[in-house]
Amino acid sequence: MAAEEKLYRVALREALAEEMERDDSVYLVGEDIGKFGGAYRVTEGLLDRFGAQRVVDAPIAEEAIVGSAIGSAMLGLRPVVELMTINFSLVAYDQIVNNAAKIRYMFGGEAKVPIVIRMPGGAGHQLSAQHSHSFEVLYGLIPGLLVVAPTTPEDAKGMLKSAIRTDNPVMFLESMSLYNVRGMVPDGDYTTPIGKAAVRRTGTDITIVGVSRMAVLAHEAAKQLEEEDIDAEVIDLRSIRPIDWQPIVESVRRTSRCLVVEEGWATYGVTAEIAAGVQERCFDYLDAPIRRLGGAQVPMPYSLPLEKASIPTSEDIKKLAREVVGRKPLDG
Amino acid sequence: MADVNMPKLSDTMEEGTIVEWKKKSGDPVKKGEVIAEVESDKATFDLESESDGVLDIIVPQGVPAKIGAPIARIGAAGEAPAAQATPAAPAAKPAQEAAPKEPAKDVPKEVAKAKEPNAEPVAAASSAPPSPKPAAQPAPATQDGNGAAAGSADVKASPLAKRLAAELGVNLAMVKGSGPEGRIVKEDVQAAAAGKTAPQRAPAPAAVRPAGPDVEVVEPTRMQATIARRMAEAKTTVPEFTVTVEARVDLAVSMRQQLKDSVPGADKVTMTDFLVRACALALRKFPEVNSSWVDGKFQRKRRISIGLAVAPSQGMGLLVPVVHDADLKDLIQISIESRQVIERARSGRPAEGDLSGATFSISNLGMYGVDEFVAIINPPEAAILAVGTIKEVPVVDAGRIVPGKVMRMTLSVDHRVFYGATAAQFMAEVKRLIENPVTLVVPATQ
Repeated sequence: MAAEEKLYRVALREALAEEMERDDSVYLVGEDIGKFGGAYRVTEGLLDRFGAQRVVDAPIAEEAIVGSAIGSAMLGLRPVVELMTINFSLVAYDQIVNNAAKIRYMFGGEAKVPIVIRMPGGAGHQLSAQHSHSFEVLYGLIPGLLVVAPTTPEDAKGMLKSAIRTDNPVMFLESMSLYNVRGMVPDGDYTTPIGKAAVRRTGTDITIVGVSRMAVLAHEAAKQLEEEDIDAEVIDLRSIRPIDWQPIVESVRRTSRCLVVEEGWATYGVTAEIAAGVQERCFDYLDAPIRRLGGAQVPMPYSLPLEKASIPTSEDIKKLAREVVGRKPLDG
Repeated sequence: MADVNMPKLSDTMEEGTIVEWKKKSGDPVKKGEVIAEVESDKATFDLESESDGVLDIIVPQGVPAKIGAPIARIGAAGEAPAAQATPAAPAAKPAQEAAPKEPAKDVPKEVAKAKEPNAEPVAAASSAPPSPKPAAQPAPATQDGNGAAAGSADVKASPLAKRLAAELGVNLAMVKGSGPEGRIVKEDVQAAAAGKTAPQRAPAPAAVRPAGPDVEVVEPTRMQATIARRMAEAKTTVPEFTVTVEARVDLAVSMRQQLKDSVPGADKVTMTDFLVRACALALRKFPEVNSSWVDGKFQRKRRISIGLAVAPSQGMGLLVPVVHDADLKDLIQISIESRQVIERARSGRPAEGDLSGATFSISNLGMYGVDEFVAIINPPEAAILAVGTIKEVPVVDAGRIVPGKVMRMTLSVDHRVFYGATAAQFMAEVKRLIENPVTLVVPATQ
């Protein structure tokens, strides 16, 4: 299949446009997504193309946006909500947890909520403590939600299409730092399944599982570790709920070692869940304790040096990987 | 009731550990019967009961106790307080030991007696009733003991290494871990199974960066810890100087051969035995050397007892078995006795006094081909003689160069105790004696 290099944000836009073309019930709602084209320019041009009825500029009221979208989804529409950042989703958390996630179950399947809530998370842009969260875990822990975090333009497009087509609520976690990432995107209509992890690199010495943008950093770290004769396998979790255990377990049983990385706080984090699950499934295969790496357990500092120090880097990943493998760094 | 205290088994011993109680609390013991094995800083000794009676253990095995501290009691048969009251004597013991310290205030004694009808009145009166509080007391002690035992037997290995070891029939206790903190990992087990000693990584067989820490931390044995402490103490507190002489030993060597060939009982006489005899005679002549500096005073030792630095039969360490009253024994006696005392020390079962009471020491590394070396004084002794190998060299004898056998000896001296001139004279005397070995085979005089 032919492919073309595209930006992550463009891949998302294509997914939205193609699904709106394919299905009239799909509509977009969010703050500044119409005239302004979206805070991160994902929806640029879509208002002109699909009109104000399908690209709805909403007031600054996340609870109302999500609540109305849930209602419309129950009545047969397929809303794709854009929240400006994951930080503002806290305002809508009650709607997401108590309505989106539970209605299908509580109504015995008579109502369903085919809603997608897109929102970027992560830190690294000096947006300070209130606007730099990685809240994968807040949604990952809620039964009834599907939670995904694509890291490549191809996955961004393919998984957004899958998300729009599924009849269950999907939390679609983008990353502020990934919008400008380029990558090959297949031509034509394709979907990437939700609930599947991706092995980004095969290796024999250690399995590094990365969550969201940390999968990208883990891949970078793995390439550099090769020079130190550490052959790391990298798994991009992609789906935070449900977790695709099979490739992780198969990998750890081969490498006998595991490191899990997320940008958010590791205590009670996604990494804690992965580490616990791997331990249950691979105990007799482990040659070293499973380690996890997350961001500094502080409100994100505004100061640039402090912010940098608070977010895991590929160097941090390499350092911990060496420890798990039992190797000293090259420079002592 | 008679207390059994931790015995002082060597000069340097400060505490000892019961390696094994041969008897249980409540067991009857006889005077002279071995009741425990005690480990000091130097060796393991049998501890004998000094009276007849019933044993009551205070310090469990594996727990160190200071010398002189009570480790058990031996009471008359009827006197045993708790052992007879409850059949599960050893386990219950600590509870009753601890109980009187924390009397159960809430429970009147009469009630307590009623609750435990099997307990003899003596036991009930002298110990607390079985209320939950005192019963809980012994738990930490008991667990400590068990925990220590289990911990020492534990092997640190990854789950994978353990599974592989089971599958491949590898005994993990025999495998050295190369992982972090010495953890045994997969490669170690595979290497052990393949009969290799060191783990190898497949892609990089060159040992550029071997796995595992650069430094392995090894716990010293009690003996090694003592040596470390004592040697550092000697080097920091003893102002020492050294004096070296070279002796012609042609005659000593041939006399030794004659003795071995022709004198019954002398078949195993060694050059060290010659030196013990020579030093003993020299020490008698120079009592300043057979002295110590203690608390700002000289201590002149009447007895001349010579320690011989030897390596233990296994492991790394240092033993100094002692030939006592060496000046009162002839060369053959010294030869027989030094061999016996060295053998006992090396076997880890020295007799009492075998490892203590030396007034002077000899360290002979000649058998390793060492030319000469300087030994560290073993305080409170004032000197130690370091002996090198016997070499065949060209020597000038009456104006002619002839082949000769020489041996270099270096005396390390505590300068507080005696001085250069004395050291030189002492060494000249040792040299004279060893060069005229007939002086060493004449009978010992009082």
